[in-house]
Amino acid sequence: MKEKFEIDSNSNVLFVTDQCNNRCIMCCQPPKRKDDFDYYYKKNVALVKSAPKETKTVCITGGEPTLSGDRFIELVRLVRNELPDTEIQILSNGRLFANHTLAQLLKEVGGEKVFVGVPLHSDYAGDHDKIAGSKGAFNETMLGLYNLAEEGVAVELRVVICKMNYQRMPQMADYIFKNLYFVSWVALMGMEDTGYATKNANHIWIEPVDYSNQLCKAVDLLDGWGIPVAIFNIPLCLLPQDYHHFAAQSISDWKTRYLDICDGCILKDKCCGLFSTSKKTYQGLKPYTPSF
Amino acid sequence: MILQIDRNIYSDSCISKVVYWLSDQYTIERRMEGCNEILQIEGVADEHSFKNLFFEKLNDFKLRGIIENETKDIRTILYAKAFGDFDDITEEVITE
Amino acid sequence: MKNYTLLPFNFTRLLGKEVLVNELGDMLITPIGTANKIVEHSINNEELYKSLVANFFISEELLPSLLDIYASRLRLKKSFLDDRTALHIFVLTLRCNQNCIYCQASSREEGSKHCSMTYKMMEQSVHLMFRSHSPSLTMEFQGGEPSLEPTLIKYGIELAEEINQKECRDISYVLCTNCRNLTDDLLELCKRYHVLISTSLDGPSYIHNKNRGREDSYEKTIAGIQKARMILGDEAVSALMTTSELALDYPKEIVDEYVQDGFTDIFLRALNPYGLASENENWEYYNERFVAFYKAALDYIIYLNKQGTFFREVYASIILRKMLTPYTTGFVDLQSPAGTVNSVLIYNYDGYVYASDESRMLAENGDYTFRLGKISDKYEDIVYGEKVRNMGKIWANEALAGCSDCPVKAYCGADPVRHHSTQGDMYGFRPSSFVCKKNKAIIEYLISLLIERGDEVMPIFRSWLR
Repeated sequence: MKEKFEIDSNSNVLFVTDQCNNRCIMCCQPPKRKDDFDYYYKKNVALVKSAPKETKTVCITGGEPTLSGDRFIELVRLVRNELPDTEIQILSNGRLFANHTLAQLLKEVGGEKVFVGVPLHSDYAGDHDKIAGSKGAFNETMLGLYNLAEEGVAVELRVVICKMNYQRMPQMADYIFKNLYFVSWVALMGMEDTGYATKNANHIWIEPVDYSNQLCKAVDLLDGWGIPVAIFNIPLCLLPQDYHHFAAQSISDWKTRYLDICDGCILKDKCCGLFSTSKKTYQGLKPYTPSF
Repeated sequence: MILQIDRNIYSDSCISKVVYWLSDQYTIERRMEGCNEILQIEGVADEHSFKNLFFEKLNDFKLRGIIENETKDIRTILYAKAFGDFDDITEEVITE
Repeated sequence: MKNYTLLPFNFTRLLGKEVLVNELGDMLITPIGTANKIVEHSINNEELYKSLVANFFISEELLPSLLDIYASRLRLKKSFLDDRTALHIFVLTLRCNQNCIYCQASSREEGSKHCSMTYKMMEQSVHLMFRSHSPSLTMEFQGGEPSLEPTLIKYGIELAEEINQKECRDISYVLCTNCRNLTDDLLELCKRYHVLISTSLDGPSYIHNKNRGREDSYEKTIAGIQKARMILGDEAVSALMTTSELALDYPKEIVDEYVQDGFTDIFLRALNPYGLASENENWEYYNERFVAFYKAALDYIIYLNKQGTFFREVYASIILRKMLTPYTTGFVDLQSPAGTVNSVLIYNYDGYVYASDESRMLAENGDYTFRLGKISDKYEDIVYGEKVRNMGKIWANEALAGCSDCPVKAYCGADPVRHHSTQGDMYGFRPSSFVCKKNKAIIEYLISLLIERGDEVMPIFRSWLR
């Protein structure tokens, strides 16, 4: 964790808690049950107060940050007061926003420039709940998304692709367009192989080359409907060239790694690389050479 | 042409709907005989095709009827939820 | 598969598939027999089951947790109602400088004096327009030929602009013209107030001129379009066509004409049974031929898109918007509750307010059923008067015989005026209704394209709807 925020960094993190009300099967940061709200709140206040005013983005995350109740709202309020021009990105499963008041409060204290990034695992409630490890998660997340939208809070969807949901990627894309047409953008993401993801690898691991077809169909659908879509965490060599422009530099600076073979790759600068935290390395990696 | 339809299987509503759709091309007379409905239809050229068409429509309407029956409450709730607060707007406009 | 309850849906069969449609108009293409399997709880395909739950056809809970979301989506579909009347048509005059064979407006000679709106009527009409609560207003000038009354147009626009200083609505202007009389002054006015030009182009010259009753009509129209584009910009000029009997044989040629003339849209419209056009006796034959014409033209348009030319058919786009997107549509003829009054009002040169464009055409033939009141009457008396209240009882297709259990109801609309004029009954008798036959044929054709050529046409349709 950082001691002080940096103006241009994409990892100025305000870590709120290790606790979570989901148990996502691919969670790369398995939750803990300890009551840690106060502990982190103090640290976060100090971080915010010492942050440069020109800080571009700040990310509030956890576990599930909304679990800290009033302190969550107070933290957002503090950030907005101390750093009026900073973008506040909140990573949340969205479930507690099913309570409309919380969505209202967030808008009130956060104002504009607040984005909530919410994971969605499937268009079918049963599959989403299974992957999220919690019954009722899908319904609460959907209601939370609608409440946020009603309050005018920008929402981003994050879809982590795994063996349990890759086949329904196109249906998910259609579902998002019909039912979540208000989202600002959608990130389709490769898994980070750490934490629960490693533990559950048998159930969930799948190579990007094996889901590339469904991924591209989903991208086509969302892009076709005018919903901004990005591909996260998948190296360019594992994507068809026509889809390279959807790929983002998505891995946090401190955990990006490249292989030796990447040195010869002409696209290395544009590529997100791999997770240094991942146990497995993807199959099929190869450099793009000029003769490609 | 005469068709006999068991009213225990096909409701009045069902039969009425099929008759509605055919009534611009055919003259249809309906009467009850016990638990059967007897339809007398004038102007039918091909009786076999007509009967197939009639029962296909009848079965479709019956299925739609079942769906409608099972879902009419939820449909009412859905419309009430969707448009319930429209009443406020109407009142405000009329009192201007 | 778990226990589930049904949510409202309907079904039809096309091309060996069963098409399921839910209350929102969301559509699923499934194997034959699916509707029955759903009712009998005998679905054996897990992916199909998941899609049925995700798309609001069945629910795994007795009272769905997401019912509020379903309701919210339903509200969005009908949100064209929120805005109230947004389209206001000002019929300035019956005078015209052409003699179109299918004139819907019963136009009079250019020189006749008695068929134009007065300034007083214009003033009252503009005030009535602003009584609508809609945040966006479109003021559309029609006729006869409205460009024969340029000072009236100027007066109307300037008055609207003045009132809008306080009202702050999003107001736009449209001039429906045959382009014969686009003077520099008139175009200057259009430029100043961003007036959009909507003209009629029926196809290549041999079709257009035959329809328009004058030999130089095509020439003048093209010249007018070019002049308007030059002064106002390409996006300010659009064209409509009306499919006369002659046109029915030339779908490809008409589309080619539009592409050649630099248009990126075409609206393939059938003849209306009003005004001079109703002298055409055999409507059944015309209707059948129109549907065939439409399919041929649409197929050709799809082909052009595949070759890389972006070109959109407007009528299909409206229906596809209902079928494939969560959004509402504002096209007056395909709405439930009907577009009359809810979406459009007419202020006519005769000093009266009418429920729709076709309503005032009926009046030219002595039928005042849809004349709602004088332009000088109070807004409330016009819009909440007895005539409108009676229409209100029968203007939602959700509650009409033949419509309420129609599987493609969500893609269609109610048209009390058309049913009154063709069948003598606002309620309408669906089995012999040409509106029903035509709409159903086109809607089913679009669904068949999705079934048979889905991969091919979906990217094109998406590009039309973005």
